[in-house]
This record gives sequence, structure tokens and C-alpha cells, in this order.
Amino acid sequence: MLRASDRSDSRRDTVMLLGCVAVSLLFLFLPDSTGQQVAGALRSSVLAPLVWLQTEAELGRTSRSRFHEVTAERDSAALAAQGLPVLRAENGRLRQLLTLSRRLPPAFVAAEVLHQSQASDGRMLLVNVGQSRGVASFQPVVAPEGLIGAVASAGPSSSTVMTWAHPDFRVSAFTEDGRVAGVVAPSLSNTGSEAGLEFRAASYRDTLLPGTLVLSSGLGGVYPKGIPVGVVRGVAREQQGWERVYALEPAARPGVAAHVMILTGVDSILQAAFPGDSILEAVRQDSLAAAARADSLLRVRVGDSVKAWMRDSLARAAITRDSAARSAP
Amino acid sequence: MMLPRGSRLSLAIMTALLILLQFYVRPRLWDTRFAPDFLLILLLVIAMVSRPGVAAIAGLVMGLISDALTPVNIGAGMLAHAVVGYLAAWSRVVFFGENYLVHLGLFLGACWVRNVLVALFGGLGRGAVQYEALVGGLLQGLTTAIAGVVVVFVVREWMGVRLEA
Repeated sequence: MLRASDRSDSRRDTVMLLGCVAVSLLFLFLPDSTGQQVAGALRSSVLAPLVWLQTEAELGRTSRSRFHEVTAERDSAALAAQGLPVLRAENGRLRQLLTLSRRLPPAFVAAEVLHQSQASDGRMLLVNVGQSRGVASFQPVVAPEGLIGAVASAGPSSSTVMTWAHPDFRVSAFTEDGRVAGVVAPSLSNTGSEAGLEFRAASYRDTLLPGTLVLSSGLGGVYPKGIPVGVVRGVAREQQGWERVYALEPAARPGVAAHVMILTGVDSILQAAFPGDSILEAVRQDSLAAAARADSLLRVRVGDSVKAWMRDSLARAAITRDSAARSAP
Repeated sequence: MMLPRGSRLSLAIMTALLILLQFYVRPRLWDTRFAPDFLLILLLVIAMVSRPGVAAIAGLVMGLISDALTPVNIGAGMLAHAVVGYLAAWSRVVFFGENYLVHLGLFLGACWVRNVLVALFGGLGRGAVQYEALVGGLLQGLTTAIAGVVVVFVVREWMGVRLEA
């Protein structure tokens, strides 16, 4: 038989548990923005030393075990970048002909991912950079392999990133050849390690072959155009004969990503890509003037080339005449 | 709390060590998804030496830390950790035989329950709940259980935890 004090203790324990459950439920049903604010305030105050500690651990790991991997990646990138100046010049010329403004290089901030032990880690990542480095909400986050997600909230020295595995994630996308456009969302049957993506709103008449690369389209104002999102695995389902949903193999895995890049200059890129009418006209006039200048330069160069060629031809003819004269008996 | 006299300092040292392990050593281990959760181990050690109500509050605080660092759905981790802390402390009354196997089972079960509850209340979807129930929760539970038994073996004298062979 329980003593009175035991019964009292037991009742107190039950009340404490119910209190804890009530507080948890209160947080659970708080508006998402309020919850993010609370989490941000905790991260930048009480938990700041823990975030700093984990950042140091990540940096330590990077500088040791991942050194060779990073070196190999850098070498590959350097090799791939060797042909870039030619492509950039060609791209600039073509954009000028199409009266498009110059493509701006994206500014980015490199960040370490601080993985946590909770099951929801792959949906929301903690990174070690914040407002002090120019990070703000809704900035896209990419890994070398492709799109990871967008900044959900930025604190002074750390930020949270909503990854593509989060149920609320959406990105406007199109296939590499630009033929099919749609919306990419996390798969309805997402699991912890085998999380996948879906390419939705693709019309029924369009067929995508497995292996087709899907890129972000730049629509929506968050993600710039051309970031790899995933590769088509096959048809996930068909909806009543008017829409086909394709399963995508994600380009980048948030659960194992160690380093990411936060694109901080996307606003300026989008403004440059979608200028107002007056700006567009001015850009068009500039482009026409630049094209005219380029054409006149080209004419001068062609003229020079023709003159040089004629000089060479005359010289060659003279040499031929001399040779013929020497070889004659 | 039912800590022996002078054990509060030991608890503080153990807490500092486990936090160091969680935030400094754990990121350096292999795949962090399956690496042992030292914060959960800390919660369970507290649950072993305290009343269920206190363990529930300790769980609430640790859940708040976890939720603040991975804020998918704040409150899910708090709820899961509070329930796990309470159940772990309450189970001490049920399981009299405190040996390695019981502790191994306690750590494994607690991690599994925590992961499933977080996936369930965090709104991560049916697939995530299934994954945590069948793969993720079990694997992380196993590594946490092994690390937890080592921790219990080390701190058994300081914390007054009974441990039979």
C-alpha cells in the first residue's frame, strides 16, 4: 500500500509531466514565425557557446579528414574553369545580340553545416553564418552538387536553412532542354534517408526520359535560374490523364552535406534579369549601340585581315616566281 | 532529486563532459545521423537518479535545445524528450534488475521512442515515421545504447547508479 507521501510525490510527478506536455503543445501550435523567433533568440544567446563549439568541431573535421576531398574538388573546378573565359565572352556577345543585360556573377557566403541528432535534421539545417556575413531570409542555399534549399531565418551568427526535404519546400523548375516546366516538391512518401523529390505539373503529353536533368527556372524570385535540382528517375504517378508527376533523384543531399554556399546577391541578379520598361529600353539602346560598335570594329578587323591576306598572297606569289626563276635551266 | 550528497558537482562535470561530447566530438564521428546522442544519454542518466517529474522537466529543457537547433516544428522535440524522461525515470520502478542489458535496452528504447515521437509530432510525414521506426531510430538507438552503457559504467560511482553484472 502506498504511503501518503508517495501518493503525493506520484501526483506531483504526474502534474509536472502534464505541465511539460502542455508547454510542448503550446510551442507546437505557436505560429511558425513565433517559433522561429524563439529558436533564433535561444541560438543567439544561451545556445551560442554550443553553436560555436560545434562550428569549431566542423572546422576541425574539415581541415583534417576532408582536406584531400576539397583539394580534389578544387582541382576539378579549376580544370572545368579553364574554358570559362571563352564561354563567358561568347555568352556576353550572344546576350548583347538578344538585348539581354550582362549576367552578373552571384555573390555567395560559404557555410559549415552543423548537423544535429534529432530526426528532423535533414529538413532544417543549422549553418554557422548569419546576418553579420550578409545572410538574410529566403536566400538560396546550394551545395556543389545542386540545390539544398533556402535560408529560413538568419540570426546574428547562425542561420537555419529549410531544405528541399521540408514539406513546405517548392521550387519552379524546367528540364535542361527547356521543353518542360513544372514545380519541384518533396515526395509525399519522404523517408529519412531515401527522401526524394517530385517534378509536378508537367503536362500529360510531355514525356521525360529517366536521366533528364531538372534545373531551377528562376521564377518566383527566390532561386536563380540554372541550379541543378535533380535527375528524373521515372514516373511517380499520373493524375487523371492531365498531369504526370515524375520522381526525381535529388542533386544534393542535405543530410550529408558538410559545406554549403548561401547566394547573397540574388536580388541584384534578378533585378538585372527583369528590369523595368524604361531600364529595358535604355539597355536595348545601349546594346544596339554596343552591337553597332562591335560591328564597325568587326568591319575594320575584317578589312585589316583582307589587306593582310592580300599582302601575304602577293608575297607568296613573288616567292613562287623567284623559285620558278631559280629552278629554270 | 535523489542524488547522493556531493553528487551535484559530479552531475555538473558529467553534464559538461556530455555536452562537449555532443557538440565537439560527435560532429567528428562518422555519419552523424547514426552517431550516439549524448544529450539523450545525459537525460537518461538524470532520469536514473531523479523522480519522473524532474526527469520530464529535464527532458523539456533538452527538447528545447534540440528544437532550437533544428527548428522544423518547435515543440515536437520538447514533447518527445519530456515523455522519454518521464518514462525512463518511471521504468526504474518497474525494472529492478539494473544490469548492463537493462540499461542497453533502456537507452535503445528511449532513443527509438524519441525519434518516432519527433517524426510523428514534427509533421515529417508517414514515410519519416516508418523510417525512424524501422531503420533510423534503431540504428541511432544502438549506437546511443552502447555509448550510454559506457557512460553509465564510468559515472556509476559518482551518480550512485546501481549496476550489476
